Amino acid sequence: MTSAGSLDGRMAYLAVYRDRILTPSEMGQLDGQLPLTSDVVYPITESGAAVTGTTTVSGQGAQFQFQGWAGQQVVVAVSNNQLGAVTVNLIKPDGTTLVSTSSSATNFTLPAGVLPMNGPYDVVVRPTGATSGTVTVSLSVQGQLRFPGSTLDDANPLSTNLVGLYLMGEGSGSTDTNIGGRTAGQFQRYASAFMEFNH
Amino acid sequence: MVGLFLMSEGSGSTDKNVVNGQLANFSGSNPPTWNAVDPSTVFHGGANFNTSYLDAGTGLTFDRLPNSRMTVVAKIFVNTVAGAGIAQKINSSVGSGFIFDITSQGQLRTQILKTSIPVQLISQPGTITSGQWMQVALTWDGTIGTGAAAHLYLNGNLLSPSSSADGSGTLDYTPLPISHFRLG
Repeated sequence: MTSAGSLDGRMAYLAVYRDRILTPSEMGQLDGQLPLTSDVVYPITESGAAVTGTTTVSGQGAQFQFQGWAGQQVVVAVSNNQLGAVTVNLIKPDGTTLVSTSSSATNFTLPAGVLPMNGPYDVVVRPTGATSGTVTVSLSVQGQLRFPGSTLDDANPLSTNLVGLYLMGEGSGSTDTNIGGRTAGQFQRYASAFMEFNH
Repeated sequence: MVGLFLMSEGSGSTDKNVVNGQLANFSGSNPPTWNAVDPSTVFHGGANFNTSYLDAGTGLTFDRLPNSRMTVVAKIFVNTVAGAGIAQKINSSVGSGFIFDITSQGQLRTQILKTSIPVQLISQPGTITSGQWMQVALTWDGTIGTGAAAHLYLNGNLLSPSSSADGSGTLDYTPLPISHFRLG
């Protein structure tokens, strides 16, 4: 007994796990972390600092990777575009596109996108023609990482023996909730006369 | 994870298992080559399973997979839909090992060998299409050992089977260290 023949095509990666069955979500994460690209790749942060990428091969794309969290609103700004006509995609951790724009302008901005999940995101700038050169990308990120009304995930190992966790994300009122210190299943609430919420 | 072949070297005639550093050799009568555009390995097809493949060798690295819980995930691009291997490690003379492949009808298929008749799971015809990158995956729970313990995925989506068989006999691994782990 053998396979039915030899593959007529290409293979980009093959992973083998023993004593582990991946979930579909984990398969998506694996795919997202093994990008099928010969693009140049740069890290970028939500700080707003601009990052310039340089491609050296005609048609090559530039990827800018950052860690995002669900609920954040991200605006991608492109400047100093020397690639000419480009398509810019904001790619979600599952490999699908959240926001896309095509432009040949030197400076332009993508529509705002709200991140639907936690994980690694990519801004991919790809020329539509056989061009190479530099392009600069920056991120403008808004939104709370820690939402009001957050509760403790008891399944998270970091919650073990935790007696105090103040997320300070309420955004209104004059108290902040300790979601880590519980008594008889109730969250304890402490007043803070010294705290201001600044959004 | 016991094996991760990234297939992105771009030169030479081997691909490294980055988990343990072991090399898989370009093998067959028309051995694979490198693709210069996407970082990937090109397999050249053929009706015989050993026309174009990567040989990751024998040994214990990929041993006992059918007897345990296992997952095989690959990213493939098919030029022409035809019978084709994805990954396999078998000793068919004694009935041990597994095959993960594509049928001539474009079905994903796995066969987990038993000492008598293999477990088999086959997806619907037309699952695999040409001209696009696809992530294909096989999961198997050897602690259960029936057809229901095997699952096939395309781009992270569970595939409905066209047929599933439990096979008969036992899952045996003792002859497997002498068998080659093959990709493609």
